[in-house]
Amino acid sequence: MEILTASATAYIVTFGDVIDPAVASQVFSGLEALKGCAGIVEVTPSYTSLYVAFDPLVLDPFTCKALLEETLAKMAVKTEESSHAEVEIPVFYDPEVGLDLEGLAREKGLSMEEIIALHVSPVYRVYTIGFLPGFPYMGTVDPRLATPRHANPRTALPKGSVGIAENQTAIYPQKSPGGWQILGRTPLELFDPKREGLSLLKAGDRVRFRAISRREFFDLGGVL
Amino acid sequence: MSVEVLSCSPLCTLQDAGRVGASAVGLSQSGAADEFAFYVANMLLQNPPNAPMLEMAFGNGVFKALASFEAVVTGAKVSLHVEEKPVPLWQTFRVEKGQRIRLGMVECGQWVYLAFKGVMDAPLVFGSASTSVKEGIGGQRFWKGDRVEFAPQTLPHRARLKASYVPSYAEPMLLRVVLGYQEAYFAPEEKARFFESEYTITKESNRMGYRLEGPAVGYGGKGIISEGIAFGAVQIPPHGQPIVLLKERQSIGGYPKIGSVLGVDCFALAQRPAGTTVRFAPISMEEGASIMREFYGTMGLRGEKSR
Repeated sequence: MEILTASATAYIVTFGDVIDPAVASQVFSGLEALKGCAGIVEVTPSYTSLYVAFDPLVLDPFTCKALLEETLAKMAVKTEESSHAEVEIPVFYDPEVGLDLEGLAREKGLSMEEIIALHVSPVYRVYTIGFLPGFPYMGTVDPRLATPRHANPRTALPKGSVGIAENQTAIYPQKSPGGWQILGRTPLELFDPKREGLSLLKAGDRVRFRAISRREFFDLGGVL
Repeated sequence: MSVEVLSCSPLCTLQDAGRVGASAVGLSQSGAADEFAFYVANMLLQNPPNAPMLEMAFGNGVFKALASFEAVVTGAKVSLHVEEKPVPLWQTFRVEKGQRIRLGMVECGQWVYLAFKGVMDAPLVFGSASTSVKEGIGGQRFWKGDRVEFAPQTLPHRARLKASYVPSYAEPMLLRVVLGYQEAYFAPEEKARFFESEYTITKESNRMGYRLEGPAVGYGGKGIISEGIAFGAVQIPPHGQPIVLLKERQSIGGYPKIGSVLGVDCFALAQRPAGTTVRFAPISMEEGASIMREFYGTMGLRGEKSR
């Protein structure tokens, strides 16, 4: 663990320099440990780090650093299995909404069914939320499925689009430009300003995708 | 009890100091682009420091009082009238029911703040009434015909900001930078170019960030794994032109950062129009934190949960 300067009133705490579930577990445990720490006003988790901003009226850089060292040194690192919710995300995988499903199958020399089977089989970890409100960066995608982003991002991807980029997978919570390779669409609301906590998913959650039919997609409120 | 918007600039929104604790679900901090003008307005009105108010890009607006109340306008320099009577900025004034507050186009600066003495019942998202148009959440964006609802309170006495404290947003600026840990990934000659060169604010500058143009800063370091972004972070994208990230910045990002512009300098930067030149100078974290402590202390914050 390293505590590094980010600004006059913020540090970056890094737990490693590779994207890895063990590093992520430390990040999520650190996030929990810092909750309610007096003078710490913002904690932003990401793949390998926590961004920590402090109130200069309560802490100075020296005391903040000491507080971080002390709090994070004694935190108990929870393992993946022991903590965090598991959320099931229904996805309609079909070329009708999965704009890249056919192309990807061709490129990988797999059938569309095989692509879908590879995407639904892992339990993914939400590494961080960002880019858009409620946009979950999840990993890790099966190496046989991993694929780069489009060189030219599409100007508008529909809300609910489920895509992959390299070995990550994500869901667009709202209509947005985007370069991820799209496999399908979920009818779920990822981000709702009226929901407690706003975001369906949070860093640390485990996610399982489930393939649904066109009929079920509509039944769950999906729109084409 | 309220004010009717008879006309306003296309970006007229409700803002407080910003949203805290929401970055973990991907929300930006948002809040007033210029916290100096924001806090001073509330201080003059004896409102709570974080009371929400209207922030207008480039001024321009007519507001009709549907009750009598006291108000203040701070920030960018605009002409201000109550009906035909000119009123100074940075000074509280009274508006009688039925009168109109008229704001002209900005002459200098970018953001104008219109605040009322009273209690506003604004919807809160993560404890903040600030509006992020980009994210479509929080507060309110105002259009012609909208009403700003609040319960007017009596202001015991008039107040104004001492003339010597009123900022002018016209001059070039020196931006003080606390070097971040990624500074070590930049070659010494690239860092030297960054600190020795003059940069110009471009038109692609907004509440999210200020894009600058000048001698390119090369980055030969290792790739950055996306991480939380500080207020004022100076990102160096592959083209080498610095971007200073401000209140409505994204919560995480993966471009290398040379450091972070000191908060108080960011507030003044946000008021500078395109074409203004800026330079950078390093400052230590300790000195930077102490300047920020003094700023928030002066603005009446007490460090409960203040930022």
